Amino acid sequence: MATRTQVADYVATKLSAGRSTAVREAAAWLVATGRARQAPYLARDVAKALSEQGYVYARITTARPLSDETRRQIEAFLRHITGATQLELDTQVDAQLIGGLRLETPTAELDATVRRKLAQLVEGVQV
Amino acid sequence: MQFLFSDSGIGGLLGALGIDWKTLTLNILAFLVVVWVMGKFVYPALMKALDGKLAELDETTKARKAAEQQLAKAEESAAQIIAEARTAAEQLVAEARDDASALAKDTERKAQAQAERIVAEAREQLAQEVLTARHELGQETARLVAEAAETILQEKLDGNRDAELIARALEGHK
Repeated sequence: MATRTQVADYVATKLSAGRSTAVREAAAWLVATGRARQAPYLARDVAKALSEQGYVYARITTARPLSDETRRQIEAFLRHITGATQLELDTQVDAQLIGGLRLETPTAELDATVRRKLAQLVEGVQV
Repeated sequence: MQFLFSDSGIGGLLGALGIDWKTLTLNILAFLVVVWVMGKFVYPALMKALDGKLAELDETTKARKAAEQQLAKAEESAAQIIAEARTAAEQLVAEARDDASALAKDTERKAQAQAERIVAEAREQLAQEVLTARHELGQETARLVAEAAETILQEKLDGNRDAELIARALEGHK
């Protein structure tokens, strides 16, 4: 029986051909093997496999909509850090962050928000 | 005897005195009989009784003397016992007084130690409470500062400054 890593590699390869088909096959495998609860882990494994293939998915959360310049900077940063040749950015806006950004990829996370800094300020006193 | 009873001798004398020599003789005989009876029957019994009484008196006297001696001995023994008891009682009282004094000192010492312990614990607790209060005050201060900073930043942080912030963050993590 195929392992989750093997399935992840397969799905990563198939995604470029047709995303919905690949996703459906992955879901069918999870249900057939009784591993429906491992869906998030499979998604992470697929993302990791994609990143190894040069395809990086990243979620960017900022307090304000991204300007083009900032978006380019972020893309350049991601390419520099991950070596990605293909990027897929999912941008979200959350005013509660006050400022800065939060960057999430399948394998790493960067929280450079003002809210996080303020929280660290309070945590520093508690410690 | 005839001489005696002639008128010219003692008989005449007795007659002159008015004493009848026959009666006198009979009296003397009676007297002698009485004496003999007395000596034979009465006097011995009487003497015996007297002797008995004397013996009883002797016995009584001896018993009295013995009792007096025993009483004296008993009194002496009682006095000795009383003296010994008094001495023992005085000793007990002295010992009890010493024990009481030692107990009082020990109690005072323990009370003093406990009081010092309570004071030390109170000081420690107070120090701990001061520390806790300072810590909580620090936390509250930090929280208020963070809230104030948040409010100010939300007002002051515009798009350009936010973009600079992001650029600096990206540069810092390269």
